[in-house]
Amino acid sequence: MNPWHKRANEFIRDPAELLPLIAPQPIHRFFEGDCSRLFDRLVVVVGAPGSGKTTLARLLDLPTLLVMRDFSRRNPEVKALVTSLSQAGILDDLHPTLQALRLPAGGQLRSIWELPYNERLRHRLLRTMIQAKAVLGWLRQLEDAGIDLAEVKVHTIGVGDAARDDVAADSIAAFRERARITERAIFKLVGALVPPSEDQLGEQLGGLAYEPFAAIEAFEWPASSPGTGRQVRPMLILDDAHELHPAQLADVDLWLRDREVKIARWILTRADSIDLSEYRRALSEEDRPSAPGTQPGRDRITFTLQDQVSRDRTAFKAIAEDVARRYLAPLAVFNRSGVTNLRTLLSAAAAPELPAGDLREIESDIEKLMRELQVSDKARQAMHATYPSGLTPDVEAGLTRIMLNRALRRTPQRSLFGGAAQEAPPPEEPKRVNRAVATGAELHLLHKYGRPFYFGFERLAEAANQNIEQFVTLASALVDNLETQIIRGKPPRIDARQQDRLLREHAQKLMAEWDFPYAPRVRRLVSLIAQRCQDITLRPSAPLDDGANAYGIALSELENLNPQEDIARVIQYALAYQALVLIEPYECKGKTWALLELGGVALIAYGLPLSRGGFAEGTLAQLRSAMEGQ
Amino acid sequence: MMQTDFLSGDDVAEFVAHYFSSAGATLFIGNIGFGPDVLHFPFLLSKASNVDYRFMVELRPSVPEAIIEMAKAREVELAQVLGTSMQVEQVAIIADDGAAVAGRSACSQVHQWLQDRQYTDVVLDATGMSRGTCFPIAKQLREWSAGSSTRIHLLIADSAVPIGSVRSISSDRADWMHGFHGSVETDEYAKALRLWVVQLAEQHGGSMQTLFKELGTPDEVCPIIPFPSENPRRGDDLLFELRSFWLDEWGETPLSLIHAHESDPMDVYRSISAMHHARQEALQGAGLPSLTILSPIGRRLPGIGMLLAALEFDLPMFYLETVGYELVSDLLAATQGIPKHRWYFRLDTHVDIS
Repeated sequence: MNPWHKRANEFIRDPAELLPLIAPQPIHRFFEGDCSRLFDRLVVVVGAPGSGKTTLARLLDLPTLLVMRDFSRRNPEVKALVTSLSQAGILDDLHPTLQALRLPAGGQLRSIWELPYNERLRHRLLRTMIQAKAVLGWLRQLEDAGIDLAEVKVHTIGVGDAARDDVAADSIAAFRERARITERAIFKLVGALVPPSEDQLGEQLGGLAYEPFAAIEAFEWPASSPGTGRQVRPMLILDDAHELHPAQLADVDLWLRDREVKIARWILTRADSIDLSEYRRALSEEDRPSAPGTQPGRDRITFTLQDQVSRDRTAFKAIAEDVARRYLAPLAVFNRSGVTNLRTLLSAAAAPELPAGDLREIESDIEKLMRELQVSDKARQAMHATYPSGLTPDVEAGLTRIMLNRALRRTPQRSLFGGAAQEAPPPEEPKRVNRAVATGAELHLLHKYGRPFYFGFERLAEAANQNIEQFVTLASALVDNLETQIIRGKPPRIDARQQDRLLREHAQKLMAEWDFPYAPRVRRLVSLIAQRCQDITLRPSAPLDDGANAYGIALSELENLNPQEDIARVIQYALAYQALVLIEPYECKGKTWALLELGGVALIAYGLPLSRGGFAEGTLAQLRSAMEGQ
Repeated sequence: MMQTDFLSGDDVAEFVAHYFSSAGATLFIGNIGFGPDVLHFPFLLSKASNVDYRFMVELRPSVPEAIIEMAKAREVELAQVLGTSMQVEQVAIIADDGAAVAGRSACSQVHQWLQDRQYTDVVLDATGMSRGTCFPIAKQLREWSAGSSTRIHLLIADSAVPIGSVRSISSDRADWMHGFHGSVETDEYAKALRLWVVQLAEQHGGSMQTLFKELGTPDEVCPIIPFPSENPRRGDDLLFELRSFWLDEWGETPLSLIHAHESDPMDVYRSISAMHHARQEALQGAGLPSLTILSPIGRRLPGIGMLLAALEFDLPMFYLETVGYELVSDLLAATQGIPKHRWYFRLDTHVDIS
């Protein structure tokens, strides 16, 4: 199994294979602090594909928690995970206290919305189906864990005999059969080519008064030592909740906020769960409007798995490095050769330098500018002293050309009619040149002379949009190349030029392979934004230092966008698949902006900077008409 | 399948002309697609007098204007020949929230049409229809025939000539085809061994991977390779193009590949039938529940073979709906001729299709 190619952890079924691949840092971060609130109310976890939602759900899966006990003794890699889960109270003396079931929300559950019944009935059917499926799933998990179901007791607290009878909690066989009958009855309705009308339903709806979530508190079975028992609290993880109809999701949200629900419950949803406005709310961790009887914050917590706004890159780079180490370890070729640090392998590449001919061309430009601006060699030397340290001669030359072009822009136009020469302004105190301008010079050299830009571990991690899956996908092209070299008996090295070429080709291929709704239009949108950004980035004076990588519109314009409009849908899918990243609110030039920043793959494909902040100003109307005009 | 229950080539035209000239009240169900092949069977049947023509227009959110215009032109051509016996209804393929509702919308529409009149024969023309509408309707009509004496006929024509490079855009939500759920998602089948039979198609690697993932990584995968095919290298090209999926991601070997004729649905049907029987026999002794899941992707004719197998063995179908199209090159003004491939199948339960 090559995890660099398997990409998504959900393809790895065996928990023993999965556990060593999970980086503990994000898990630790998720569970730090008071964790009791994660299990006594509704928790909504929002994230893009590949942000770790499913990994989190898989980690809490009963089979994973059960294998953790034995596994942690053999494998030190898993110890950090065990510590985090123990601190969160999910493991008690290495025994699970929770029994989480991941239930995908799409397909059958979404289909209930299409039944020709009144909305209230459809919501009841959905709630009932979720409960029946959860009960059956929990029992299957216990069975798979080798627990004799006949010995399992269903604990209910604070409910009367009638409620226990309703779910048949006194006999595990009857408890299971009750859930099966309920599931089959609703399945029959959903699966019917032409479902019966509401009037014809009659007895088929007998099982609808089924509310196990309001009754059951725990499952208990005897432990190996006599007189003791193991108890787990059932938990539902409703995955891919964005696949439910918005009205269904709103009802499920309302229902699971209710304190009467005794089980632990999480909803995992993709960032674009409903529409752009919903996504924006999730980003700002603002709760949905409260319904009667519910209190935002107190009965629901929302987590976003990617910290898009602050982009804590240092923390992510450490996680990416750890993930790379874990993913290289199972590969025999790397393991045998003792090579497990991707950062070292990539960062060992020497900084590239332009051929002498190209450098002469830049110098000739510089000389021309110096003549025009009447800058002496001494003044140039003084300018160099303000540059950041460690620049190669070609970047230094590129930077000088930018600085002179900036000076040229500041110089007033000479009058056509002559006149007295203007008095020179008093010399300013030389300021240190920002390193970002040097990065801008590097990008100029990339576009004009093909000098490599995307090389080294730092830039690879920066391009991943804080998304592990995206990091792994991008890095796989480099890892494959390294593997080939080791197999051929060569030292595992990729020079800067090769790294840059592999990454840019890979990014272009990934973009061409985008295969999701509106993908062609998302590609067009990305291309339009990228062209605007390239125009600004490649201006001789590099006005935004390292350049632009986003399209900025007034926040108010985004707020007023109709989510049903075509451009809103295109943006929604672009955000969901990380073709774009939404940054808002962003304060700049006394205005509040929303930035549509290009995702890492697009930035590499179009040769744009990886840092945040530089943007091309515009309006949605301009974007809309540009897309239509193409 | 008995020889009398399917026909191909010129035999289809001969049968249609002969049979429907003397048939009772007939309901013709078709779709107004943009290719010229959609005109073939309605024009052929237009000589019969007792046919009600009902067409669907599949509404998708992302369709280029050029394609919409071409479909409108087809509608005009059909109306000129069929006159007042033709009705057109719009059918939503994708709901507002992005969920695929094609089968459900289509079955609901067909249910209404079936109530209009007592028909002795129903013709389903799959030529311009998407799988998401055609396959559920085929099943619906087959079930309908069980409670009546109605005869169900399935027709399909395919010129195998592209009218320009049109690329379909798939939804990102894989789902069971309406009516082809089987009992897959119920508790009884939760632990069943899953065999996934998928039709390999050019430029659909991403879609196939989505299906594989959403199926929860099936235990075995049998990709269907088009061979024989008009381009003898097509199978090899597909295996090369999609190697990272079937080799790396799905972990399969060449031993799992099924070769089936590119334009012969019966070859696909027989291959799946043989494999399904063999698997059931092998697993029966061990008492393991098993599921054979079909995923039609790409060209239509092999998909019809999958439909026949799914109808006969009640197999589930897992698919991705098409949400729209992308024009990679200009549409060509293709003219209607006699399509190269023409097939006829009798679908009702009054005949044994096995």
